[in-house]
Amino acid sequence: MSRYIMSRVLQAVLVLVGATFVIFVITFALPGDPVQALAGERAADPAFAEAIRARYHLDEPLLQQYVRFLAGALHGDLGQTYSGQDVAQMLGERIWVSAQLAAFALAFQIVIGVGAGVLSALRRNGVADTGVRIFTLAGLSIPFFVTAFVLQLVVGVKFGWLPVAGTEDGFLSYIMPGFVLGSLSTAYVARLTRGQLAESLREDYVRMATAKGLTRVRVVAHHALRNSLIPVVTFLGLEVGALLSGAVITESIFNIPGMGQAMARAVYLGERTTVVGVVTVFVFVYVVANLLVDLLYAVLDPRIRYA
Amino acid sequence: MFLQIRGMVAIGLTSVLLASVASCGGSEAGKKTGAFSAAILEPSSLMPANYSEVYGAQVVSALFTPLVTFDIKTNETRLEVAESVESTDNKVWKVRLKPGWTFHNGEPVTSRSFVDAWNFAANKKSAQLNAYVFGDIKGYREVASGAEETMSGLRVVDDLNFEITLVRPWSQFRQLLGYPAFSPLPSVAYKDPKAFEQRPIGNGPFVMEGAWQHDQQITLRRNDSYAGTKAKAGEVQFKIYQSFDTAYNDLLANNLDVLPAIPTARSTEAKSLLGDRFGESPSGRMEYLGFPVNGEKFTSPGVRRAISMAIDRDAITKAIFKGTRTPATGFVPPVVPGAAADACGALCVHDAAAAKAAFDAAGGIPGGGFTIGYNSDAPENKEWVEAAARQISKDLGVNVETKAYPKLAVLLGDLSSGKVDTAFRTAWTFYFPSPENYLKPLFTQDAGENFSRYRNDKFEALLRDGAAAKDTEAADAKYAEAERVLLDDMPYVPLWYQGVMVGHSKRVSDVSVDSFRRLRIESVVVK
Repeated sequence: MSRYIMSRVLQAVLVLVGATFVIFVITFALPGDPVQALAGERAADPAFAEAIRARYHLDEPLLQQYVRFLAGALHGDLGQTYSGQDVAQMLGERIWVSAQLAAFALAFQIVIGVGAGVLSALRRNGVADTGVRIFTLAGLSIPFFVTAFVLQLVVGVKFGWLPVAGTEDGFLSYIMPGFVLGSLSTAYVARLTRGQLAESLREDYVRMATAKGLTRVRVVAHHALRNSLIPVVTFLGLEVGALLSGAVITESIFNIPGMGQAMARAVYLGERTTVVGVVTVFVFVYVVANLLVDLLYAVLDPRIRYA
Repeated sequence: MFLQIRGMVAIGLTSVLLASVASCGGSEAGKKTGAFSAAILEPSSLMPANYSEVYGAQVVSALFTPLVTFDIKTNETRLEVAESVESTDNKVWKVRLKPGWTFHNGEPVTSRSFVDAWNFAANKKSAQLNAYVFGDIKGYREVASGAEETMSGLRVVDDLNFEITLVRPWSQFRQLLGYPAFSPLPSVAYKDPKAFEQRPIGNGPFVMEGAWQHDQQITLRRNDSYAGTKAKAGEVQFKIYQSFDTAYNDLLANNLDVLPAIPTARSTEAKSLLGDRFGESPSGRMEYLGFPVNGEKFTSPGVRRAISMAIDRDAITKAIFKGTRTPATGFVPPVVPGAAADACGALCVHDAAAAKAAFDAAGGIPGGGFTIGYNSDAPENKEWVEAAARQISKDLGVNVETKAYPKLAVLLGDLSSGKVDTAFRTAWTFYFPSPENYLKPLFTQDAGENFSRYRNDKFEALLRDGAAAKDTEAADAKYAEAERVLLDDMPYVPLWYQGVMVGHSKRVSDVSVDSFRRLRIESVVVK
């Protein structure tokens, strides 16, 4: 098993280097001169442009810049934004914000998604099941930024139940954006849980457990559900990565100072260091999440062995 | 094992959730007495000589006070830190400071505070965006190239007196001194400029409370030992938004006190929802349709004037800008002291017949049609450029196409390097309130922003006369004359002056925005 992990970690390093290089090259293709973007509405003064290019080594060839980035990154130095902020430090602050948002989204997916799925499977074709199916259909088909604007106007502005934007109200601030971010996958989790559980409930071992005289709750929760959750857990594991990186629009709408927001602006400004820094973190999270999910397979299903 | 992992995931998730519950509470600035919140976008910098937009100017102006400032209504220059700014020849300027001004850390504001700050800003190593504004001070070139550390044109006489020598006579220099880049810096600023920028120490009406929380907020506290007119509110929390649409929702939900830039799309709704808490003010920003005057299509001034008359400014400002912009009547907006009234006259008024006649008389456009380039990252550009193209096309009987640039930076980059051979959309905001600031930086041959590559020796001679003029009236007369020359040549077509719409909550009053689109936070009263 440790040999398997070792080889996976090695692969991960290769993926990281490859991904950062590809992103690095792509940022050169972004339209517009980043120095001009810094200057806002006026044409950048040539002396200023020259000073900035020299300071951030923008005048060097692509490969030399990449090697410089890589050497810095190995020392934990991701460089600076063109307005002078330390990228590593900025990401350190922002990843925490994004992690909280992702945690809320994940919590919604688990609580609402699995809950609705179970309810639906137990009362198949009943009123609850139909209700859940309608809601999940809506969740899957309404673009999440529409959900975001509608919730912001209704829950935030009209009723004032939750803060409209920002993070200054602590955990209350994360409820609405967390729900929006998780909404699409919540519907997916509910449908997945429903299907799996409905199938499990027809299995022999469930009938056996019921025959043993166990309570309905124990049969469903301990025997049927546990087995049905295997694909759900796999899905959620991969979802962690998607939630961190998929928050670009949600963070912008709800004014949450996370990684997605930094990414969106950096792309617009053509700020190579920030784009590459954020992507490095995204890739890292994805690689780790993937590895964990693969390892989890072996845990969930003893028939899978990594020798 | 499955249960253990499940437990670990649960514990991890719960702890993240709990931690965010614990961090709840956040800022209570909006609820403190004497405190209010205002919306801004993330400033590009908080160094006086390095910001690029209104929001940097907003915060910098609260933290720093330069030698002179401008009256919010008339934009007349008023002495602030300066006791006097005098020159007999418009070339050597003697500045005398008022005694008793101090920085927030107690350091007195002296001649050195200004001279050192300007030398720092002009220095190549500092890479300050607005360094070019020092360009007419003697010795700027040497400092900007890194050959010298100090500009030879700056001479400290004593703690309260210093002299500025310019490379040319310039009657408008006193106004320029009100640009925030000319603010003084305390000596601590040079030790670690990067750290200083995160929490600048100035001499302004407000003191920074804590560091700059990027993309979240900047909190300022009233400077109670301020030597000028003290601010009315005790504390200001600048909330940093990604878009003012979100900020507008926050204002409606009562989470925000002042929004100094209501999005145009929400203006009609805002007017009725906010009632007397909605206000409009004019600004110094204006928009143009520019031409590369040496390009084969646009060499004829007659054609350019005809295009000006073919654009229905009234219709566009009403339908697309909902009245937040007003049709231009010249190259200098009325908010500028000394602006000539209705300089453009009939040339800026829509008249299809006159436009067609002038167009035909000038021989029309070679090839029969032309293209207008614009940047599509600003919300209304596509709408108005296409509307203008249709109007011109209809009135002049030519084919007018549009070409979208994905970002302003791309369009500006191409304009700077002379790659644009089509007509183009452009805009300008003054950095000091003088008619000259709308003429010289855009239309003189060695100006960095002369995107049309316009050149007229008579026009430049008139500007030189204005710069050498003995008093304001004489200077303004020369600038008005220069403006008429420009209108006759029409390298740019002046389109409209931009206003701002401001909305506020019931908790505050006396909310006003100046011509630089800065909210005057020092005059806001918290109820």
